[in-house]
Amino acid sequence: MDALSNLNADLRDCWLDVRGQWQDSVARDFEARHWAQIDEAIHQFDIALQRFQELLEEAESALDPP
Amino acid sequence: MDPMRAQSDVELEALVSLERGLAIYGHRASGEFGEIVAGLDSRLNALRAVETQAATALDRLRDACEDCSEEWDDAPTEELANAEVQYSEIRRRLSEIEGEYLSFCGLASNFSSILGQNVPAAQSFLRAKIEQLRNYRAVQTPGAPSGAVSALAPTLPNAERKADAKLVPLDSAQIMELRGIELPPGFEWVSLSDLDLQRELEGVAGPADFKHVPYGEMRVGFERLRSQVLPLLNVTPGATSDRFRELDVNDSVPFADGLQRVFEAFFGQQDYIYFVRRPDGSLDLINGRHRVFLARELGWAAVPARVRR
Repeated sequence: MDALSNLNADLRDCWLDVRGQWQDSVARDFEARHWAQIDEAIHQFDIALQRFQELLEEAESALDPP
Repeated sequence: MDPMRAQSDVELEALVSLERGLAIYGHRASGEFGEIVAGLDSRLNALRAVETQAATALDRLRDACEDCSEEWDDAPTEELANAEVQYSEIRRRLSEIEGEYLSFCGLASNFSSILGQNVPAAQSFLRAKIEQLRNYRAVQTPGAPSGAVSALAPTLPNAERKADAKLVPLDSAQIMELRGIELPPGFEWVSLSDLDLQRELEGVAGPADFKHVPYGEMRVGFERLRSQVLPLLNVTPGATSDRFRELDVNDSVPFADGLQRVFEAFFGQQDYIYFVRRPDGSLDLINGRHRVFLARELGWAAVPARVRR
């Protein structure tokens, strides 16, 4: 999971670097049509993954599965 | 180095980097995603097994209590009560987790489809832009083969692409009206009379010399610049490419056939008509020979362009 978090962070950094240098209407189009959806899906999945993992850990701690 | 060229280089490098970053992300994140989901499934199944074991143990205790209660006083009622409480807790936690798992699965499915569809689509978008920039660079490089620049030029609906349409030169009032329109920042009207057209248009003699963007297509692009794009700029000074995109979207017109493309062809960041003014005041046409040729054909006294001094 850390590996995926690192990948997410790297991709965001990459986008921020590019966005600073690419500022025409095509960039805005790309951001609206492609990047925004990708970023949102990554963000939502990240939150869901953390939440589910926390619940699992709590349950495992309480129930001590084999 | 030409600052425009330098900017183009920086932008190209950044886009190549992002496209590569997306490719790496798509590949590695897919692998990580599969491992994560498999790991979570395994842990969830272990908890389900705990619930199953607890249920079995509870059933045994219940049976034992039923068997014992009639014959002995030492039936395991306290143990049964503890097991009931424990099982209830297991069920509560498992129920909570199963509910969260459903929600997680929905988002995981969305994430998976982003990896499988949206990331490749974004890469494809970037590759098209990268190719466009590379073509632009090829055109800007003296002596280089003139690459396909049609993507940067104004295009129009097929129905309007008539190479043999009759030319209707502008009258003086129309020319004055055009020149009164405020152009986007950085652009100005450059009079054709200020140019050495014989030198600048060498090699462009007629429609047959329009290799990359058909003559008729570009001609209609000029017409739409005059009849639609410039009037809108006149009414709403400062209108950007996004404004024309909105109009295209509202009219359900794709970019290839829309006003935004005409705007971008003349006022975008890539393919505008571009001059350099020499110290003696004369102008060198760096980019846009075919458009200048066509402007003359259409009777335009001036063209919108950038001038580097």
